[in-house]
Amino acid sequence: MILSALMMASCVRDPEVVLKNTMRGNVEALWQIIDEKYCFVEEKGLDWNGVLPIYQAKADSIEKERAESTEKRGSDYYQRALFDLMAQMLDTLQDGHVNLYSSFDVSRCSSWYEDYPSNFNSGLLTQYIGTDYKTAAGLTYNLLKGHEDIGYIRYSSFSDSFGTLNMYYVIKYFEKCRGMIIDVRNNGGGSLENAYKLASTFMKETTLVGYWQHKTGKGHQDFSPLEPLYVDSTDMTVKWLRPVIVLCNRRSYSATNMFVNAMRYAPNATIVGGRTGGGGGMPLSYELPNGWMVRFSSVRMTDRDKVSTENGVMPDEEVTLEGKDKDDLIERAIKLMAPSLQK
Amino acid sequence: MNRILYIILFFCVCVSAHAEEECAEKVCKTEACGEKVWTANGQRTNVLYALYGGQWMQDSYLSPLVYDGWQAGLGNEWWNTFRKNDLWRHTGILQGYAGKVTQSSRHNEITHFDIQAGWGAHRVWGFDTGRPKGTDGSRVEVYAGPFVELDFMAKELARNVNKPYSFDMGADVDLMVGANYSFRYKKTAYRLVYEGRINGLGVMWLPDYWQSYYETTEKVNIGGSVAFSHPGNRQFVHQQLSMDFQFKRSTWRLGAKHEYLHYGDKDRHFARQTVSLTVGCIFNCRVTRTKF
Repeated sequence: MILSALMMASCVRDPEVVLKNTMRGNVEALWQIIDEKYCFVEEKGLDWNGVLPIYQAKADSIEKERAESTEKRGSDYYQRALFDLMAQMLDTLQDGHVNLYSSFDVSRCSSWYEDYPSNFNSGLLTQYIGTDYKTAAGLTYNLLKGHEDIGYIRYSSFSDSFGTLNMYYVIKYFEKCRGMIIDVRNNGGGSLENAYKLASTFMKETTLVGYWQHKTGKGHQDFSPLEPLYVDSTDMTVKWLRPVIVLCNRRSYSATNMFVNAMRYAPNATIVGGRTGGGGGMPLSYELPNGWMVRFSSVRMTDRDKVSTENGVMPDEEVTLEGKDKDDLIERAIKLMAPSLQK
Repeated sequence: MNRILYIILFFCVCVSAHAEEECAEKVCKTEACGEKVWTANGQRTNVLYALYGGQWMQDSYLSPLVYDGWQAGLGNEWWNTFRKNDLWRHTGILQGYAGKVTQSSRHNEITHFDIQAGWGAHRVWGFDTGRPKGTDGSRVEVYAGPFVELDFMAKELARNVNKPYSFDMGADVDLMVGANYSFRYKKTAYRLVYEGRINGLGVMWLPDYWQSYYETTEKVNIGGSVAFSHPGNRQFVHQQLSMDFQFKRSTWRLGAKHEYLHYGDKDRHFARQTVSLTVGCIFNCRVTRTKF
């Protein structure tokens, strides 16, 4: 019995997965995870095969430096060097959903929004919502100052949950308003469930808003069939069917990107601002031989026309924040809400 | 998650305690812990035991790394002969355990709990083996038969994104074989028991490659996650070696259990292995049907 236990202990490790906890081994494992499981290798036109030898060589040079160095540097120094190298390798994906997690740092890619106008200045909000704004769960709301017939909701993270009762009180507070602004600028995402729940407030009927598919194999194009994504109108039993304007910018990312995409199909909804950040791939995570974790996009999501949302959603009205004393996006929303422009 | 574990452990303790209480009322006092401890026609023999041991685990749905750690639990095994044919016995098991395993670099951990339940019947062949030197008599029994087993293990990976839980779920028809050697030494009864089970056919849960927890639970997208199992894609071995002995007026079991499970396909690999020590109390009880 003991003999068989010892024999089988060796079988727990899968013989096909060769995990080498060396600098080169970790770089290769990271490359392999992205190669087999990242869902946008093909779509982004990445030369991922070309990336491997470059970083293998760099890992080898760190390893060599460690072996040959006469300076007394702790293992911490080389761990950080390896971390920076692997973070640099992940940066080639240009994806905000890709992070490397160690005990001492988390890598992040920011180039996907750096070349775009910010379109958001939180300091300008006070003149529109004052300091007497209300907060219901994750929803900050008030009547717009000087335009009390327009309600304003700021939702800064889809990680903050809210319920039907929260939305009931918000809508009740806006009952005399003819329109509503939902501001999801700089909302980096969170729960897709919350995103679709919020969108459900503005849907009369259950609506097809897109599709998704997950990876099913190691090939870059090994995906499951497209499965429809619906916003279920019964998710929220309180409804707002008057005009609604969604404000977004490049940093409206991930679940927010999917919310903005869903709102394109809501009746009476207009999207105003800049192209959203994308992040149309649901992230999953996996572990490296040294125990670090890598997060990456694995489930590909599209809009209703089966077009990928990874590079963001274009607004109906593209507006850029130019002024320093007023919010051009809110101003544009107010103009769009003018009675003469409404149907 | 920890709360769930505590509730399940509490449930297991309650079930076992309840079973003991029920039997205590109906037990034949002279046979429960006394002379006819091994087999008594018409009576059910129960082993109520606690187990503690080590575990190795791999779940490619959660991580490519091998995790190891500990597990502890409680269980109840029982057997008795069929009323009309004492060459056949039926047997059952209900076992629950929980534990924690970590990866070698200690960056992450998996908390898990497992419930196993099964029922089977087996044919018994018995032989008196005379009186070996130093003993007052001995007997060997060999048995074999089918065993239906349900296994459910829930695993939570502490640090993960959109894929925090995984499950080992399977229902199999196993082949059970066993042998025991009973003897008396200095007026004390002993029994050495070896029992093994290997899986045959069944069904199992095999989560689709990179299917997220969100898809599985929120969207109930479980297409491709249920598969037929056979020895080619699922290997399960359970074996235990134990010694039963009398101590004063009670009967005890000391033993070791070993379980090995591996299943999957080309891209999906799941494995776990446990080695545990068990300490149990053996008692007989008469099963009666309550009439209303």
